Amino acid sequence: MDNGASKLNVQRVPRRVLGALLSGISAGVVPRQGAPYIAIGRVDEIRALSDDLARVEDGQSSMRFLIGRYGSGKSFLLQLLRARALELGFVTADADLSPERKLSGEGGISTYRELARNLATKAQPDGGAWSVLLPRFVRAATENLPDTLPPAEYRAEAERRMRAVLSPLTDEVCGYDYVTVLVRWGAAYLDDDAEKQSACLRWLRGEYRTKTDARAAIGLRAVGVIDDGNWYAHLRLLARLSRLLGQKGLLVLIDECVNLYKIPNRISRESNYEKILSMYNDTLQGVAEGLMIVLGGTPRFLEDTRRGLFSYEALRSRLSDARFTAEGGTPLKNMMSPVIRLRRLSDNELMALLIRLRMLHAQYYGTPEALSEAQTTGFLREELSRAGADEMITPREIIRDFVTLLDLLYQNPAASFDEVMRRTVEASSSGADDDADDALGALDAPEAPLTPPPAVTLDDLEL
Amino acid sequence: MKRTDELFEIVSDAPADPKKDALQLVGDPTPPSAAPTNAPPVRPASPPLGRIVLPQGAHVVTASSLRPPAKASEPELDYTRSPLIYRVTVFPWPQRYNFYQRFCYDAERFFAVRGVPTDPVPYFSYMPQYAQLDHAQLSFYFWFREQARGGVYPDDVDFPYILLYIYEIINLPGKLAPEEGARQLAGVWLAYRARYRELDKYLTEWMCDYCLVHALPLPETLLPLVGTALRLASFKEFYIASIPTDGDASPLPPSALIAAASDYSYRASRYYAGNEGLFDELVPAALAAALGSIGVDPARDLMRQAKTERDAYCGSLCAQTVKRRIVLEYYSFARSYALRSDVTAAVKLAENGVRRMLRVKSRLTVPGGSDAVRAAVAAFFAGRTGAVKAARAADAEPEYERFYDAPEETLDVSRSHGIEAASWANTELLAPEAADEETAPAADAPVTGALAAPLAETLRRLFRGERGAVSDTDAAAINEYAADVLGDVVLEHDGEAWTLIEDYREDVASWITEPQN
Repeated sequence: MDNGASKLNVQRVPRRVLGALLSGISAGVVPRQGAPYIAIGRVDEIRALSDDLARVEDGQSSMRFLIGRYGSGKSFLLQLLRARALELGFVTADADLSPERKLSGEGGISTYRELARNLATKAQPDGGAWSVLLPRFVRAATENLPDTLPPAEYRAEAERRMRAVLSPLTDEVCGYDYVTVLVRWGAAYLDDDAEKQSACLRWLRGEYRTKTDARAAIGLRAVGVIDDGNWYAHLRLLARLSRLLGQKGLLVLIDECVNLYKIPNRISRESNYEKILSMYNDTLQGVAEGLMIVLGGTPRFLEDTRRGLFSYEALRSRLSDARFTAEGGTPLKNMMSPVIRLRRLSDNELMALLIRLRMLHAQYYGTPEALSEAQTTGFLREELSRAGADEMITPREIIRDFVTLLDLLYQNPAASFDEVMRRTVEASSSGADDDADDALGALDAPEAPLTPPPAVTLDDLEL
Repeated sequence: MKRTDELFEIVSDAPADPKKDALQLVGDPTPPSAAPTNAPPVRPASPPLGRIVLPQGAHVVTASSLRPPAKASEPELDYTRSPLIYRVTVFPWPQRYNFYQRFCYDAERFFAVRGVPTDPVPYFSYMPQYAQLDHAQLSFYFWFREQARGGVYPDDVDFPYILLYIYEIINLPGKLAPEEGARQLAGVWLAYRARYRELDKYLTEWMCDYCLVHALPLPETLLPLVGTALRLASFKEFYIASIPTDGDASPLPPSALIAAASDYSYRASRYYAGNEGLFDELVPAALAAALGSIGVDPARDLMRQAKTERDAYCGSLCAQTVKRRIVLEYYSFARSYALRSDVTAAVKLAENGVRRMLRVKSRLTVPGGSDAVRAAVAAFFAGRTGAVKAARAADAEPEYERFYDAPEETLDVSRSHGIEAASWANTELLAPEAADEETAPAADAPVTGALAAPLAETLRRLFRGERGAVSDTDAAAINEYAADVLGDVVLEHDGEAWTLIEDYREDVASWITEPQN
């Protein structure tokens, strides 16, 4: 049942990464690590996004809309892209929109704060990369600066050099304040002044609500704050800064954009769409440098002409490509468009995904693969035959059920596949969060009714 | 301005009656009895502009033929209309006025006039009367009336002509049999209500008055309009009572009950448009189920006795001789709090049920209504939600959804294996260290890459248990090296200092114990 090449590759997955991957997908969430190992299908989409990264690496900018139904793999693809960008030396920042976190109005700064909090690099993939990034410009400025200079002179010269290093940023909107705060952070770094560094970092993360607070904490008289009106300008500054610090650029991932569609007030909704329009124009007209933005949302968020992006004429006319791709028959793929539509995985792709998961699970626990080909196929057929599966079933649910099934078989060697699968499917159908626990508990209960012995059991497998 | 009878020559095809003919042609409003017998007939000063032919047997009467007003305190009519409206008493109008006497006089004179084919002539008036018409307009009016009496309703007729026709019917009870008057009113209402929406508002009231005054049933042709009339009528019970009953069944169809006794109109709901069929089918059915299940006959159990007075033909042109005061004793919907409360609650609950089927999350607040009604409506919708929801979901799927459907193909395990194998290209693209055996050893394989000596020394200090031994810069460099070699970082920040991830202790130990390069 194994594919030789696959087995060879699967041996190379780091155990910690594999553990995080399996626990993430069994919980129904996209794993932060290990996603590339279960990237089945989506070859064209991955290649298109990788090409975008290459363009941004050259100093250009890009913006994409990843559109797909709930559970179709948008967030998964975003994580893949994020991992790839980190690998290539990008700085990444990701955030999920929510009713409190939007792009415009009072929710705008919340989104910026979330992005700043999740700032990541290859060496700091879980966020909080400011502490890794910022010392770089100080090192660049103080390189070759003689230690023999008197302290005051040394510091003045260091600040002058820091300003020179950061001078390209002053051309941008809000650039002067940004550079001033960075230089202040650099000076505090040289002085080993943790309090001042922290204050400057708070400013960079947009955590000051008033200028008075910011000025008092940082010790600068004429500095503004990052707020709802200018946070996107600071994102552009961050993209340029990341390139100045030796990174390839900044990748911004904003997921759950359907929350914009859900804004009930039309004016507020359109204000958010205007922000998307300005991002779109900046990135694709070449105004921004080294910035790639990817928005993830559902079909309604994009295509609903009443409340979605297509309700905003300026965006509809830019993003609509349905005229050629949609006319008649099967829609054509167009990976050159800003919009990438994610179709649901085909049944064969889902089966391929289960085969991969089966291998990874066996590798992680150091056991033979728990299911035969026929059993895996039977599991998939059972999932796809559930009521409403055509409309409702998603890879997320299938993966969760399948990993749960594998976990149960691993923990209950005496249990048969048919029995465990039936319980797993029933438990997941009930919609409870603790499906697996319930199913496991039921297995342990002696009075639980059991199905007749199945044709194939674990004992029948060649271990 | 000349009077109509001065402009037209009015002749009759009836046998000559010199005395009557003289009266016909004179056009003198003065009653013949009051006119001097030797007075010469007054003829039009100029030749007549047209000829209006009276049919045989027709005659033109004068104002003297109008009925004299009866005593206002004595009822003209006292009858039981139906079990709902159990007493109707019709009184003459108590106040005297005569400003429409001229209209009545003209109406009676022209009643028998036959129209001849004439092209439409525009006409506008808020209170149309014969005296306002010139000869062309009058000719067209007679032609229109001629056709309307025969059940033919031409399209191009200005609204004032229709009002004039209605006023004529209302004001000529002596010339027109009431049954025929009701038939003609119903005909013109049905024919022109689509074009002139205000007819619904006017005739809902005037038809009610006409039938009450003349003790007539509502014409059967108007039954389809009962729903509309119930929404507009001030005396809704008239139309409720006009609905034919089927044996002992409840005399109140649910739709009528909703129109008459609900404070909330589901047709005004923001979700009604586009879902009319669903609402019109399910809301009345839910109400019927609710009332039926709790064993309530609205007509018997919930309505209260009431008494009211109404002035007949309000807003119409109506002479004092025709206008009436009507006293009504009946079972009231409007004044029964219990009925209105239950019906309103049932309608709102039913709309909430429909909303649930439509996947609309917002719900109406339902403050009133008994527990029994709530339970009955809930039971009514319990069995329906799933099926309709699925059907509607299928119907409502927008066109763009097909962009996101899976490609149609059958499950083929060998093909799945092919996809799985090919997908390692994705992994290779996204995590090159995992696929490149030369540069990316396995997690448990010996390290072949280089770690700079200062970093190795830093790691050794970390291994010796020195907290804070690793600076941010060194941690970044070590983690980048580890990401290249292992595909994962080996140091993590615990909030205070950089620490080693235990999973990779053996790997890191191998880096620092073996000489690099």
